[in-house]
Amino acid sequence: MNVLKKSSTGVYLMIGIIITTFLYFLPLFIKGFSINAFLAPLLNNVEGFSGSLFRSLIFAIISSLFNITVGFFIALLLKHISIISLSGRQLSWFLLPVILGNASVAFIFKVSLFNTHFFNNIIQAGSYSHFSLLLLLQFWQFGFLFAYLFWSNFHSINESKLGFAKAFKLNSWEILKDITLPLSKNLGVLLFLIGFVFAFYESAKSQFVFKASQGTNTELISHWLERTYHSKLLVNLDYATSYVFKSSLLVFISSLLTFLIIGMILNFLLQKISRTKGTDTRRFTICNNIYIKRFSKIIFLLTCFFIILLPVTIVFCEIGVKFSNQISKLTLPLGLTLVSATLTTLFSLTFAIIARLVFKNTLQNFNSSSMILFALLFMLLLFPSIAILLSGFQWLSWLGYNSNIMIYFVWVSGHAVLLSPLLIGFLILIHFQIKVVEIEYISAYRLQLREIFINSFIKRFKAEYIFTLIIACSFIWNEAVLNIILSDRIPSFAANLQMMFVGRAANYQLAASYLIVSILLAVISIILWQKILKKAAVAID
Amino acid sequence: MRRIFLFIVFVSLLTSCSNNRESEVKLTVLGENSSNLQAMEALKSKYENKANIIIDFKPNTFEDAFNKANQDFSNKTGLYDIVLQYNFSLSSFVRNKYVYNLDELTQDIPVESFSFEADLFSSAWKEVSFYYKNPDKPNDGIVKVGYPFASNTMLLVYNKKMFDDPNNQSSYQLKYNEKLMVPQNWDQFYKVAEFFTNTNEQTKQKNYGVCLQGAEGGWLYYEFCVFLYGNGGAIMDKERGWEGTENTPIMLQSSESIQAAKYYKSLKPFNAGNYFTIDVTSQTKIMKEGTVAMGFVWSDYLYNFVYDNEGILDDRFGFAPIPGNKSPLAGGSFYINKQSKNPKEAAKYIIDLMQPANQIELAKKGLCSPLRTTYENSEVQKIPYSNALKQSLDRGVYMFEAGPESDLVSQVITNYIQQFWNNKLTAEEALAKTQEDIKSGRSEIYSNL
Repeated sequence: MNVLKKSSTGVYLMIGIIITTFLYFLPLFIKGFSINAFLAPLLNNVEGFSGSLFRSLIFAIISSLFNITVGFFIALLLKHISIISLSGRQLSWFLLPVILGNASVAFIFKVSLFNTHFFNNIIQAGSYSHFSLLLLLQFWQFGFLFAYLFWSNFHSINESKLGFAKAFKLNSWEILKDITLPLSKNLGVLLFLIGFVFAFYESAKSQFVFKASQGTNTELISHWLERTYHSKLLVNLDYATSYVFKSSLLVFISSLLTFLIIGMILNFLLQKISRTKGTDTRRFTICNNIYIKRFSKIIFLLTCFFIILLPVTIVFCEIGVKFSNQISKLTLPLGLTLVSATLTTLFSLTFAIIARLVFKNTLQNFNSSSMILFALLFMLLLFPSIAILLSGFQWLSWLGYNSNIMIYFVWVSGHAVLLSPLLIGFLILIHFQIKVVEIEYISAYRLQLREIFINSFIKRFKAEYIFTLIIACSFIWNEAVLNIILSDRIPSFAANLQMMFVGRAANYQLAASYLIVSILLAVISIILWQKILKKAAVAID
Repeated sequence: MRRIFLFIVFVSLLTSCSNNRESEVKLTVLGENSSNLQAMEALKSKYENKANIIIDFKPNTFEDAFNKANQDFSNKTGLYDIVLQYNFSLSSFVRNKYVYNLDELTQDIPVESFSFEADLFSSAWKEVSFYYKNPDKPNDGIVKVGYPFASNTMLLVYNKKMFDDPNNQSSYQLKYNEKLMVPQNWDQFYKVAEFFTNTNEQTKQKNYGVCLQGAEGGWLYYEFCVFLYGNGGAIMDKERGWEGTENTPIMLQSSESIQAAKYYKSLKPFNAGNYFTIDVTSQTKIMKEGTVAMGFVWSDYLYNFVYDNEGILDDRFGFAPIPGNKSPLAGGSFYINKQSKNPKEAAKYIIDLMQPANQIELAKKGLCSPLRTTYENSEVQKIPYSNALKQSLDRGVYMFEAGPESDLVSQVITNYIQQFWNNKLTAEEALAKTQEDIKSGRSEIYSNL
């Protein structure tokens, strides 16, 4: 425990994050970075760089705000469903879209929307309608996860607060601002940040479904970077890498600043709203009202139908399925995914626990200091995926491809490096629940580190950690950077699926068989999660 | 004890995974997953048994294959022995000395094995597998770099039912005072596209004359070039795609190019789909719905277009060369990595693939063969598009850029033609801006070569 008392431990953690990020991009720094040409893409508006960057920032801000706002309101509509009820457990189907991953979601919508009047009109109406639809698809993929997390967060409301609300007959606005919003503030900010990162670097849906382009004013920065890289590659790799890396650094700085500023504004606004006096005088009881419960269930059924049945039915009715003989090759990546996800979760868990103990005041909620820590943590995620890809290739050329063991090691550890910022962020949020006094108590009693880990964290947040593991499996399985770099050695689900619905070997029936695998894995994960919830419900009863 | 046991199991698993038959000669082949690559992969066991080597195909998406090839060549990791890449990579691979000139590796191979050379479509071969002897001195002449793995072009695919319908034939005769036939010139193409664009009063089904590819990623660019060159326009004044310097004249503002662009846009009322998201996969899907009369489709997409997963033929479509008297040439070459551990074995395999008997087998599985005699084989002639493909390759010319600025040209044309299609620019404005951007972008590229 002594180690946790030292303030230097915290500094080491921070330095560790920065060094890991820097080390990952070391090959690109070595490839040559001259400051004189650094600002060229921005200042000269090279082939639409500024336009794409601005468009991506705006889209990311709107999309992440839309996702947390609508997600929050869906959660409000569903809040009368108990977390331990059957419906509550079934609500975990909200996780399906995010577990399916980018390639599967893009394929579902490519097939569903293809050549429909609706889609054709959207495309021909221009960039605003294009982005409006993309916003909805982004919500389908991430918004329901956000709704689920808000909903489960509502159920951690202290019983005494509910009793207070009942006793004082608080109206709906007062309940929202005095109980629900303060409780959801931290989660809201984190989900905003996550939504921002995924929307800012959105690529699969806009590329495969919408064919975003400069000519239609729909190009996002990830497309600009990829397009520019391919173009410059015809000169040579060094020129292309150095050009794209300079642009990537500019993109990184822009996204980091926006991330920090908007995150802080949101944090401030949520705090402000929850301190505002209510004006709504309508009376609202905290309801055991049967009609409101029924309303919640109707909303639940409709959303589940929208999430599960609609796209899956469309895909299978539309194209049928033909099983690919390549599917059996996915057992190796599946095994490695489980190994990597477990190790990444364990590493993230350790990091997040130590961070909570070391930064006991900073990491008790979102504030300007913790926001900076989150920004540091998310640095790697805020780099464009093309920079991550190029650096990955360079690292592999240094490490060599000769030994399979080395390849597996690189695959597993690479995923750990790329995914752990997201997992650590999520786990730090979970650990906000541990109060400062608890940590002071732990310090005072000089408990062993092992005891602290088990009693104060693992036993208490077991379900949340398993949830983190499930999300880790899904993200590694569907990841499209490292998986693609090594896809010739370790077959990649994302690369194979992509090959089946774009390009010269496109075969939608074979792609549908990959989609079935993806759905099957998602369903297994969700059922596993439901079993854990059921166990928890039995324990509570 | 249990931990030791688990450790032993873990180590043995890793060891078994790493045991990769190091002693045998292995050729790793990287390429875009396409009917061409699939055909080669399907026949690899025959050569493996004959030469006692292992051939490992690594099919990837176009972007990944392109990226991995460049990474491997540039980083000298020697992962891939043979790379199948398209003609726009030729200039970069040769200038950067990434690949062998095939003649360096074939001295041990008997001369008679090269008799296929006389059978290659000459223009197609020069378009994809020749380059400057000395890239710094273009006037020193050109040299053979290798052999094409496929010769691609675009064909006119038409809906036979619509063309064969007697009602359509008589109505067309009445309206245009000429026989309804597969268009052989661009005037006929316009009339046919116009004629077939209608709504069936009884079924309310809408039919379209054409389905154009307007998506970014090269789809718009390549198809637009067919219209541009077909109607007398041009991008640059030269003989081959890979030729050129920083000062090669750009012809986009010529009156022929402007007229060609206007002709292209005149087809907008007859076009199916939403244009901006239509690539060849979407185009073929729309055509298969049976409501579109014509489309220009890449030849290497046609095998999977006409045969389903079980090899059953979809005979609803006919195939012809594009209107006019010339067709575009495309395709790619086999490249042998300078870092390959087995370059001579790689060369032998390529020469074996080029043999006429193997080309016939490959064509029957989907390859667009670069050998003329392949298309004379009776089995190959049963493939519905084979005659049109042969005719097109015979009359093929350069239409697509393949120099170091080729991707820039593709991107700039896509950008401004999409704006032109959207009525944001006139033909004159679009082509003037295109010309200007190509000029400035090209000088930056050439200064970094």
